Amino acid sequence: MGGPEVTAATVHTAAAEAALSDDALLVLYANGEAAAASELMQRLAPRSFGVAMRVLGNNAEAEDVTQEAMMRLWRMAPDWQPGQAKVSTWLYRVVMNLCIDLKRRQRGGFLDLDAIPEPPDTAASAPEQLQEAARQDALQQALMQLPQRQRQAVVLRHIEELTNPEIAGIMEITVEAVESLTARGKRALAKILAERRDELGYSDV
Amino acid sequence: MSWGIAMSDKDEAMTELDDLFAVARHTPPRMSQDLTAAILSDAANVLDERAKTAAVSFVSAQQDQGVRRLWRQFTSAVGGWPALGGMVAASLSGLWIGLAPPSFLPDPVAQIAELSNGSQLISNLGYDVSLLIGEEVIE
Repeated sequence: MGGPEVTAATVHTAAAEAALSDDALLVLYANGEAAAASELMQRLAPRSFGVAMRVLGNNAEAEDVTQEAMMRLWRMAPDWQPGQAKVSTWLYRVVMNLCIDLKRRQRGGFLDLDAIPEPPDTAASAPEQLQEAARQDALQQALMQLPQRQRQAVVLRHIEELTNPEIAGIMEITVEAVESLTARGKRALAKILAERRDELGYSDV
Repeated sequence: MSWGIAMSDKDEAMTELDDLFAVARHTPPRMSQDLTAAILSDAANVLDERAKTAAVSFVSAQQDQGVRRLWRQFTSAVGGWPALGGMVAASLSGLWIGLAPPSFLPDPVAQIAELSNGSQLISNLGYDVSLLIGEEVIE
């Protein structure tokens, strides 16, 4: 009974919500609008997962961190003050802190032997694509050799393409500190990768 | 290979790194369907929990309202807040008169003290009553 109307209403709501800001969606969700959660999830969760994956280099850990960060978003929704900060900045900060907590716990306990970068999807097996996959793999491995804070800053700056002030807000440090971390991180990455240039097929370029 | 390379090599290394970043940006790690489902289920659960908590606090708020309604009925029955203030003032002055009466009334505190001494209450009372009558006669 009333099935088609519900479907039409849902489609209508989804279309309307696509035009709303993260702020507005979060307020809608806090007011009990479950459909708003779906739109927020599509906007924010993949980015959180991407960052966690780059910073942790481990799929299972990145999934745990993403789910926990989103859980905190759902829980804080009623207390959110629209217009004061960006929801994405808040979420990036939660993700980064969860990554730091996870690594701290691991150092105190056991070392996760599965914490090896996941090889990128190599479904297409053309030689160039395999080489590109190997290069991306090398990038991830190089990232994992950086100190945690340098790695976070580099990922946020060069992969997420956030501005330095935004990264400063996420990492709760000064803009100067962000600049210093990204510069040192980038130099260290270039050095690590330079040692593998031949292997990665850069020498014949 | 040492890092003691020429400036052009260094620039080249940075360019290669920038290219790697560009590829990384266009090939973000993909989230699994399981994670997507888990996150949406969390969102629904949090809403459900909140709805339940809200329902419980609604019931207790209604109970609070019941107590408050009774109190409102009482105050309006005696004539509102000003009347309630008058009642309190009257009660307090009654208590004060009882404990520290004017000189023409028997002092209950003194009488209790005398009773505990074993003296007669009746003669005492008689004296006070006669004094009271005397005063009335004089006036």
